[in-house]
Parts: sequence; C-alpha cells; structure tokens
Amino acid sequence: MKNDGLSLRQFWRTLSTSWTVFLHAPIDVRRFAFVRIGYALLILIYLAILYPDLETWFGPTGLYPAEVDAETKLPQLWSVLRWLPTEPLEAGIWLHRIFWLHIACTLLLLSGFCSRLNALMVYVLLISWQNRNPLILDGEDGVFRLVGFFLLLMPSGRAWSIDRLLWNRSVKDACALAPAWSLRLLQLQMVVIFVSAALYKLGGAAWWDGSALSYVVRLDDTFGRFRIPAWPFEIPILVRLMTWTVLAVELIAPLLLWFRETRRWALLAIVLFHLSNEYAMCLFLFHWIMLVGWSTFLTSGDLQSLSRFLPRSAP
Amino acid sequence: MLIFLEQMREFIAVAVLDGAHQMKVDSERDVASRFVNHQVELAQFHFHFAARAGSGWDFGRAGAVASPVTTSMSIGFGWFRAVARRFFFGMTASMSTAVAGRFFFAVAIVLGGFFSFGVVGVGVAVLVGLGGGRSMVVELRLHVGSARDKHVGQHAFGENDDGYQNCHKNRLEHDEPRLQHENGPGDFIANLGCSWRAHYIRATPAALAGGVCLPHLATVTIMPTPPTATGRSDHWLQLRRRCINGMAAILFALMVLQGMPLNINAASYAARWLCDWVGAGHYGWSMFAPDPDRQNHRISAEIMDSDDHVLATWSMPRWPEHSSLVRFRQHRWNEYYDNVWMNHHSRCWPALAQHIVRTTKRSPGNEAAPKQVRLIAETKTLSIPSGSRWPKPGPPEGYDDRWVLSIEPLP
Repeated sequence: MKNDGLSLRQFWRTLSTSWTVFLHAPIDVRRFAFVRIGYALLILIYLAILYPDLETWFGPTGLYPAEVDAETKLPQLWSVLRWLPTEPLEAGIWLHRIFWLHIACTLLLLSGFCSRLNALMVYVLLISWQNRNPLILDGEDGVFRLVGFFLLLMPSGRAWSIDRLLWNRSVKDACALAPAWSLRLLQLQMVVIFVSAALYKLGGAAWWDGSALSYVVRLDDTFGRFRIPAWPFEIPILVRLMTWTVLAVELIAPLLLWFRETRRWALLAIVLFHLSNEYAMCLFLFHWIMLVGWSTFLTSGDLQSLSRFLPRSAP
Repeated sequence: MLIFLEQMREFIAVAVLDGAHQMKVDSERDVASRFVNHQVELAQFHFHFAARAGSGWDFGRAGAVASPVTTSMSIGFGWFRAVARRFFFGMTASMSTAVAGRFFFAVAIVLGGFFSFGVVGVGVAVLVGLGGGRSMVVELRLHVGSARDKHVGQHAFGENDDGYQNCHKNRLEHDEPRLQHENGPGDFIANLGCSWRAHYIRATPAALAGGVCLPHLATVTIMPTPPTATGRSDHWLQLRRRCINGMAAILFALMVLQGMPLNINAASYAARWLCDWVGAGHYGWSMFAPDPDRQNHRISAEIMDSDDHVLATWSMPRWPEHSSLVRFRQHRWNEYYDNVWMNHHSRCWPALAQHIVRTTKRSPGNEAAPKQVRLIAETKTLSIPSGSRWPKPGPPEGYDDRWVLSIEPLP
C-alpha cells in the first residue's frame, strides 16, 4: 500500500469539503429566530437602562462632552450621534428621537418584521451609542455588538416572525431550513470568547494557585448581587476547586459542544455557569447575552423538547 | 397529476423563498386536499416561480388565481399544463408566453390580483417580469423514509460533482439528524443509502409523475441549483458559495486575532482596526484575567469656594450598600466610575466636576458660588489569601491610600 503522505490536492479538497459541509448544512430556521428574539429583548432592557441618562452620557455637555469626543475619537469608531447639533437643547431632542427610533426598530426586530433591515438599524444605532461614549462600556457591550453583527447575516425572519406570515405562508406546514453559515460563525465566536477568556486566565498566577475567586468575591463593584454563604470562600481547597472549575468550564465545555454525545451536557454546564455567576455577580446583561449566543447550539430537537414545557391549549 | 402539481408548487415556492428546504409529505390525500383548498397558496407558487424564472406568464396566472374576481380569467388547465411543462421541464419561457403573461398579469393586477401580494409584490413582479425568460433549475433530492420503502427505486441524474455528493451525504449524517428523523416517518439516517437524487426537474418527470415513487416519499429536500449545462448560473452559485466560505474564513481569522492572547500585537491591532469599521471590534476577552483586580477604589470630591473652604463633599455610590435592582439600573454609572478615575481619561474630569456641583446638595450657610472641585481617589488593596481561613466574601472596610486626582476650576 502506498503511504507517502497526503497530497496537497487531496488535503485541500478534504478541507474545503469539510468547511463547506460545516457552513452550508441546512438547519432549522427557528434557531436563527431564537437568537433574534433573545437579542431584541435584551436590547430593549439595554436601552431602558440608558434612557434616564441620555443627555448625561451622550449630550454635547454631558459627562463625555463633544469636545472630548472630538479630540479622542478614532475614525473607525463611527457614530451617527456625532452628527447631532451642538446646541444642548436641540441635541437632547435629537437624542430622544434616535432613542425612540432604536426602540421602534428593536420592537420590529422582535416581532420579525423586515427582520434584516431592522437588525441593521438596531446594530448601527447600538454601535453609535457605544462609540459615542466608551467610558460606560465593558466586555458585554462587545458581545452585544458581535451578536448583532452576526444577526445581520442570519435569515432570522424565516420563523416566528411577521415576515414569515407575510411572505412565507405557503410553507406553514413545512419545517423550513436555511444554510447554517451565519449561525456557525456566531457559534465559533462564542467558542472563541470562552476559550480566549480561559487562555488569558492561564497567564495569571492567581488562576493557577486557585486564589483568583478569593479576590473576585471581594471586589465591591461586581460581586454581591444576592446573598451567598460565606463559608465556602473561607476554605482554601473549596475556593481552589471553584477557581479551577471556572477554568475547566471555559476551556473544555466549548469544545465538547461540537460532539453529539456531549453537546447537551456541555450546554448544561455553560448555562449553570452563567446562571450561578448571574446570581452572585452584578454584570448587567453579560450572562444573558452570552446565553443568547450559546443558544445557537440548541438544535431543533432541543427546541422541540423545550416547547413541551410551554403551556398548550386544550385540543 | 394533482399530486404532482401540488408537490411541484410547494417544492418550488419553498425553494425560491428559502434557498434550501425540507418538507414532510404526509400522505397522498393530504397533498391532494391542500391543492384543492389553498388557491392563494397556489397563486403564491406562481408568484414565486415567476419571480425566480422571470416569467410574465406566471405573474398573470398568479394574479388570476389569487383574485376571486379574476378567477374566471384563469386560463384552462390544459394550457396551464402545457405551459407548465414548458416551464418545469423546458425551463425557459418563450417570448410569446412572456408577452401573453404580461398582458394577463396587467389585467389580473388591475382586477384585484394585488390583494394577495400587495404593493411590494406588484413592484417585484413588474421588475422581475420585465426581465422574463430567465432559465430556472431546481434541484430536488428525494429520500425514502422508511425501511419498507427501501427498494422503490434509485435515480441519479446528472450528478457529477463528487464533492457535493459527499457534502450532501455528510450533511445528512452529521447535521441535524434529529430533525431529519422527526420529519420523516422512518429512520431517515438508516435509510440514507436509499436516497434518490435528481439534478434537474427536466430529468425527473418519469420519477416524479410516474406515480411509482410519490406515495413513498417521506422527506424532500430542495435546493435551487443552477444548471451545469448552461454554465453561467452554476458558476454564479459556486462563486456565491466560495465567497461565503472565504468570508467565513476571514471572519474566523479576525475573531481569533482579536480575541485570543496570541501576542502578535500588530496583527491583533490590524484585525481590531478592520473590525472597528464594521462595528465588531473589541479588546479581547480578558475578564478577570490574567489576574483579577486586587484593589477596590472610590472617587470622592470636595466642592470648594475660592478660599479653599469646603462647601460640600461628594462620593460615588458605595455599591454593596445598594440593592441588586439599584445596581442593575445604575450599571452604567458603575462602569463610568470604574473608568473615569484613570489618568488617560483626565480630559473628562472637568465634566465630572461640573456634574458633581450640579447634583450635590449643599447645607445652609454653604451656598456660596463654588470655584473649584477637588477630585480625590481612594484605594483599598485586597490582602493575599493565606493560612487555613481565607478572607470572607465582600469588600473590606476603609481605604488605605488616598490622593488628589485633580483640582478642577469651575467656569
């Protein structure tokens, strides 16, 4: 038997076929819709929190004044808010108009009307708020941007949407499929987030010696959302185990998600990880937007199983 | 024939709309009843078919079928069959049918066909219809769903792309097996070897209309595929797929370059610069890494008049004292105070000083006009955990370092 290695042609062919299979496999369009709905709901909460302080954060005389923005802005960090009038009163009026436009587009996205167009509007306005004032941002805002970006590429209006009712009635009794590539990209992005977070942590001594969580639980700005027992954090071995569990989940679970046998267990571990952190820490919507991102790993079978928990009308 | 037409209607409508689609065919009876009862769907089929094939005739047909007023204008079934055959199997609408179709289309729309499609549909119909006569090919993939149907027949027409064939097979084995299973009456995966595929509709009349296989269909996957014979459309689809593959590869590379701790700063910077233009840039995912913060901090301020006399003091909220709801609502303030005290944000300190003056109440006797604000930073370093009992959760009391960030004069 000839065994002188793989030819470049064979390798390229195998690689391109696998990549094509991975990206273009048709999947249940409800998976796109799930992301759309989750994302739109979170954006509504995100905006609601911004609303009371619109002028403070984004106004020309707010805490990030227009002249500071003009001095520090980078050309690639664009924002439509920079086109606002410089007169504070007028700028305030326009800020509110843009805000309500954003809300309207988000509601339309939620209901799935002109989904792609509204996803674009929501995305552009979200970037505009964020780039106008970087002082109030943290990691979760980056996740919001990325999920919004990949949502632009998804045919998210093909299920659970007004778009489907309007334009796709003829297939109401069929299970619609669409190429997976946009969802795959978001899946890859989620994996990159988790794995890179773990790799960054591996560069720190506190994560190796297991003391990292002991510091985290004493931070005044993030920890202490709800009451938790103090004793596990006083016992060194337990703190170490918890610290290493964080590393293990971030490093291993995203890889196990890709295998049929381990996917649900890995997904369960990730969900528990986020929910437990959400319970203990004040990270705003970080864990929820991450869960929206992870929901891309729910297959139609999972959605079917989940739907059994929903109330049903009597036959 | 009704079954055949109904299936074709759904197949092509779905294919045109979705690009790729799988549907369940329950039974012959179900298909037939749907054909009888859903005139609007039939019209939609014509509409979508026409949109794909650029057939003016089909727009006319769609309008006629859709509108009760113009149902009487519906041309006879025989003619429909003849022309449909031309559309389905000949693929190209002739000039005469296109012209006739536009006529019917115009009349039908005027008489109420637009009730089904609305203004947008009419606009699309006109635009695409004017282009008439474009070729259209739909690739059908027919699968036997249960073991008892195993040897009904196998047909492979014009399939010469091994890569795509493998891709298709792998896809069914690898992706969404549950979905395939649920939509088919039998074990879809187990019967994979019994799948049929037909590359062009023009090659499938015997398989489809012969009546041999239809009752046995379990699932049908449709993908619009350009004909390899004509070349142009095939290249177009290939090009589209390659573009998506390439774009996905580039996006993945950008994800890795931006997110991962690769220590290739120039490349990471370039990736971030590129992503920033499309709004998807970020600074990596170093959450609580490489080591968590080991310091709590607080910003406070003293509002002073010209004599250095302190009129009032201010301090940022002490977050652990607030409820989780308040902390959630005040999240942006939390982030602001977390960032603003850093030296590279010193340009924002005058605005902070003015905000403090505006929002701080002064006690009676201290209403003199403030002249300056002294911004103060305080920090508390967290102790290193050691011994058999480590520190309790929660921030330690007090601050062990304090310095003046800036004295900001007020306008």
